[in-house]
Order: sequence, then C-alpha cells, then structure tokens
Amino acid sequence: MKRRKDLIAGLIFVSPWIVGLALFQAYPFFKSFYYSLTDFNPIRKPVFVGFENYSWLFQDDLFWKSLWNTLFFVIIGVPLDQIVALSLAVGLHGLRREKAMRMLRGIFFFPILVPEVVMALVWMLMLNSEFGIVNQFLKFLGLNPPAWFLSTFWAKPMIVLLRLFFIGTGMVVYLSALNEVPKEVVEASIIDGASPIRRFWKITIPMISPVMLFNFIMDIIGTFQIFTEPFVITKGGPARSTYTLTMFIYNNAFENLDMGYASAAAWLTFAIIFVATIAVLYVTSKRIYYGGER
Amino acid sequence: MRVKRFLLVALMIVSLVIFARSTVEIWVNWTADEFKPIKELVDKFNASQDKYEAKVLSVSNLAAKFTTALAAGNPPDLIHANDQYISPVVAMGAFIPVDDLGVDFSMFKDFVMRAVKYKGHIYGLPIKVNIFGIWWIKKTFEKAGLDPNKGPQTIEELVKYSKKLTVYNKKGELVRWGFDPLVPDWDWPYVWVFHFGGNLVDPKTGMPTIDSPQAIRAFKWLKSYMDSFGLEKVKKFRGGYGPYWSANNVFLTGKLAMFYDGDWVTYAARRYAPSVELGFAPLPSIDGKKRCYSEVDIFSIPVGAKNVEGAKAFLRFLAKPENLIVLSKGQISPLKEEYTPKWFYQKRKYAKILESYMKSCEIVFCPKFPLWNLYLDEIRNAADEIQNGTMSVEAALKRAERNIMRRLRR
Repeated sequence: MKRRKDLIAGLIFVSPWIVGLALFQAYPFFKSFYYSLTDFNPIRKPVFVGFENYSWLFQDDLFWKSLWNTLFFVIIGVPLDQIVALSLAVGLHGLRREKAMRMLRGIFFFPILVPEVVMALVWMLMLNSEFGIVNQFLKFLGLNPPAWFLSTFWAKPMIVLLRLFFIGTGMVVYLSALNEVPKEVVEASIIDGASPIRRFWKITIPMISPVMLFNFIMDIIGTFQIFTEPFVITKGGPARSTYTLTMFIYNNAFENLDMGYASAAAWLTFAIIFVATIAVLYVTSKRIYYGGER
Repeated sequence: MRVKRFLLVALMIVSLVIFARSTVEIWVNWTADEFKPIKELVDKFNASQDKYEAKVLSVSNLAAKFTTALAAGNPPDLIHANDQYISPVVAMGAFIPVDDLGVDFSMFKDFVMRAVKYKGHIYGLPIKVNIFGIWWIKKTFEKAGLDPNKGPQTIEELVKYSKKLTVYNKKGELVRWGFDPLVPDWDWPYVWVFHFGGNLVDPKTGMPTIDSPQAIRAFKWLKSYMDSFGLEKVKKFRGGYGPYWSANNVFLTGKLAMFYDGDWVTYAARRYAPSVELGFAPLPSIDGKKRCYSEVDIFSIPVGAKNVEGAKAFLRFLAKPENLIVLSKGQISPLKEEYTPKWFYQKRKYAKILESYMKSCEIVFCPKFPLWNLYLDEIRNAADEIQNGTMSVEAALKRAERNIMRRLRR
C-alpha cells in the first residue's frame, strides 16, 4: 500500500516534467515527421506527399552545400574546440596558485554568460577590415590582412575561431575530470620514472576518456546545429560559404513558408547527427576506460 | 436589497459586454523614431471613436513571427508589409483583398496602386512609397570638379564619375570609392536587370528570366566594373562599412561618393549628417530610358484576423490624407499631389525634385512572383559568385534559373 502511495506521489511530482516533455518536445518531434511527409504551409492544411520532400532534398544543391559547410564546422571546429578546452584545463589544473586558477577559470568561462549574438557582434567588430583590432595589429606587424567575412576562403575558419570563445563549459568539465584522476596512480608513475608527457598520454587521457567522449559528442551535436554566428555575421554568405543546415531549415520554414520541406531537412539533419554520434561511440568503444569495466 | 444588488451587477456586466471596445491588433516592424508616428495615429484613432481599441506592437523579425502566428491561427488584425511580399503571401492564401474597403483609391498615385494589386485585387492600403536612385553629397562632387546638381546620365558616365571620385592612399588602397553597385547587406542586385532593359519575370508566362541576355549583360558589366577597381581592394574596403543606421553610415561618412538607395537616405542624413546637401538622379539605363525602382509599404489584413471590421475601420481612418501622410517619413507622398497636404512639400526638402523625376521615369517594381524570397536569394547568391569570380556570369545565372524553376515545379 505504501509503495503504491509512494509511486503515486512520485508520479505527481514528476508529472510537470512528463507533461512538458510530452507537449513541448515529444509531440512536436513526431508531428514534424508527419509534416515532413506533407506539402504544408501555415495556412493550408497539410497534404500528404509521401517521401517527395526527401527526394527533392537529395536533388537540392543548396542542401548539399549547407551540409558540406556544416561538416566543415564539425570536422575542423570540434577537434579544435576539444584540444583548446583540454589544453586550458590541463594548464589550469597544473597551476599551483589556487587564486590564479580560480580567476583564470572565471575569465575563460565568462564568454558562456554572454549571449552568442553579442559575442558574434563583438567578433565582427574585432575582425573589421578597417578599424578592427585584429587587422590593426596585423597591419602593425607589416602584414596585409583580408576582409575576413567577405572572403569565401576565410569566413568559415573565422566562425570556427569565434566558437572557441564558447569552450568554457567543456573546459570546466575537463577540469573536474582532471581532479578525479587518482593521485596514487600518478604518484606511482612518478616513482617509476614516467615523464610528464608520458604520464599525460598513459594515465591522464585514459582516466578522463569518458569525459572526453561526452564533451566530444555534445560538441558534435551543438556544432551540427550551428546557426547564430553565421546568421548574425554573414547571413550565410559570401556566396553561401557559411550557409549551414539550420539556416537552410530556418529559411525554408520562415522565409519560404515551406514547412514540409523544412521538416524533411530537419529530420535528415537529425539522422545525420544520430549516425555521427553512433559512429563516434562505435569507433571509441574500445578506447574508453570506464574504471575497470571493459 | 439583494435583488437590487444583483440587478446592478448584472447591468454592469451587460453594459461592459455591450459597450466594450473590440481590440484591433496591429504589428509593425518600425522601432524608436520610426514607431512614433504610427503610435500617434493609433492614439488618435482610439480617441476618435468608441467602438474599437487599436493596439500597435513593434515586432522584430516581423516576417518570421507573422508566419508563426499564422500557423498558430492567431495572426494580428493588421500587418505592415511591403509590395514584394504580396504575391508570396497571397499565393499562400494569407491576405484578404480590401477592394471593398470603402476608400477612394483614386487619390493614390497610379503606380502606387499598381504595386498593391495582384491578380486584379487590392491587397493592402498603401501607406508609404520609396523611390530609388543615385544619391551623392554635393560638396564631394564640387571638390572633384563635377557639377553638384547633375548626376551621371549614362552607364558610361557612371563609371567615369566613379573613377573621378575614387581616392586611393599611398599604398594603393581605396580610401573613397566612387560607387559601389552591390553594397553588402544593403543591395538590390536585381535592379540592374531592369536598367539593362530586362525583366525578372516573363510578363506573358510568369516564369523567371534571370538568365536572359539582358541579365547576363547587366551582370557582366557589374563584374567588369568591380574588376576595374580590383576585387581584393574592394573587399577590403567593404569590410570597413559601418551599419547603415548609424553615424558610421558608409555614404554619409563620405566613404562612398555615390550611393544607390531609397529616399529614406534623406531621413538617415537628417539624423546622422544634418549639414550635408544631397543630390539625386535616377540610376542610368543602358538604353537611355529613365527608370526608377520603387517599393511601397502597405497595411494588410491577414486571413484569420479576429477583428476584420475593426481592421477595416482603422484602414479607413488611416486613408484620410492628413493621417496617411504622417507615415511618409521619406520624400514621396503615396497620394496624388492634389490630395497631399501642402506642408508635406514644404517640410520634405527633396520632395519636389523626386516628384519631378517620378513623372519622367518609368517606375519599376519587384515582380509579383510567388517564390520571391527564394528568387531573391538565388539572385543574391549568383551576384556573390560572379563578384568573387567563383562562377562565370552565364553559369551563375543559369544555376539560379534552374534552382528557381525546380522549386516552381515542386
């Protein structure tokens, strides 16, 4: 009887979350799949067209271009984010002065608190070809810097660099993982004469590998959904060189009012992220150390 | 006693229901200074009658929010739009015609009415009209030895003027550019097709014609013009353009000597460079014909509006010349001269000159094309590819045409 009561009480407590999930996540999620099989604009009732939207998507140059651009951000941006976040965390972990560590941790984390739009605008100003601080500095060094965001070659890498401002969360997660590395193992390796680099590769990396995997996957998912930075800075240009999958979905839904097509693109994006995540899990499955378990 | 109280309360409720004003919700994308005139008009409307209570909201990213509201079945009663969006939104079935509004539409300029009609119906009340052309700061022309009251008359003259007005520094970098035909984020690349004698849509078939010989010629000219100044120099120079609505406006700061823009530039000049004297001329056409591109702002009633009668009442109120003209912040009145209050011409210093050009110009508009947003996006992308030299003119325009046709087939 008591267990039954506890169950009811528990269900009542979690019900707001369950209702919220069902109404605002699950329902739109499945409904959007139905819409992806229809010709639908906000006024007319959806007309079922089967997989026609998907078939058109595969023939759409712009979809492929946006996929390629997004893959560029994922392939170049994610490893770079993780390397920098881990490097900062290792650097901070090695600091002996607690105060300095805390202060630097706060500084590196600070951009997370600033809205992405604001950071994008600041980055735009910093890279302004005429009065931006970066170009002023490069000119001072005698270099001839380009107009970064008007160049089809430079626009994408510059957005990748902007995203480095948002590695604070990953860095903090790495930092806490580094604190969890057993001291006795590290000390034993020191006694055995292992160099710091060897210790890092052979002890630290395996010990924090589950956290690395988590950060890596979260970053992949986040980067596949990159929208704010290119939308604010370049609007997808120049020559669509920064046009991403989420911009493709947004423009089809809200500019072209083609909700069915946009839903199909959203589901394809979901499928791509899903496959990428599974692939990363599969590739890393034998290289992640879960504390004695295989 | 109780019965009396009950009756009193009942009477109050009934009178509240009977005499309550119904709300008319209006969405506009104007903010700050631009929002004030419509707010004043709404207050005036509310004070002038006791049947409706109009409420105006300044909505950012209006198009996207309007779509969402339509999808949710909760659109506003009136929406501020532009003639470009009539055909896409009507194609979607989202505006209701207002032919029966009870407004004397003959008081509007003929070309203005042409802009708001689609398939024989009027889809909104015109509230503001803008005319585009080349603007220059007269002092800059004077200093360069050019007649400050005369703009370039031909495409060749446009290039000549531009070269004369362009200034380089010792390193050979652009300091002032005579003319930028495709200002990033503030461009109307498609207008060049009109000025090279072409159309964006075949008037007979309604099909896109962006790869027509005239369009190819227009974009070839644009490419050769850009190349004559050096693409890398141009890109670097463009990277320093400030936001339009700011004191760093690229034209008002004198970095661009000639600027293709709508007449709202006079409003920006009043705010950011009040001392400058501006000159205006239509953008030259290859065949010597005078053409002026124009855009018309409208108020339309969306399908699903809850208070259509209230919306129409507001539009009728707004259509009175003394009210309508308050919204014309630019230099052109949407009304014929005889209906436009005299003060308008006294207060708008460029109104007379622009009116005279409008009489001698062929006024061109965006085509009424159901996939206009997509079409515009394709043209912009083609212009980008052409400028950057990543595609030939023919290939870029062909691709734009193919992409838009493919979407039309869908």
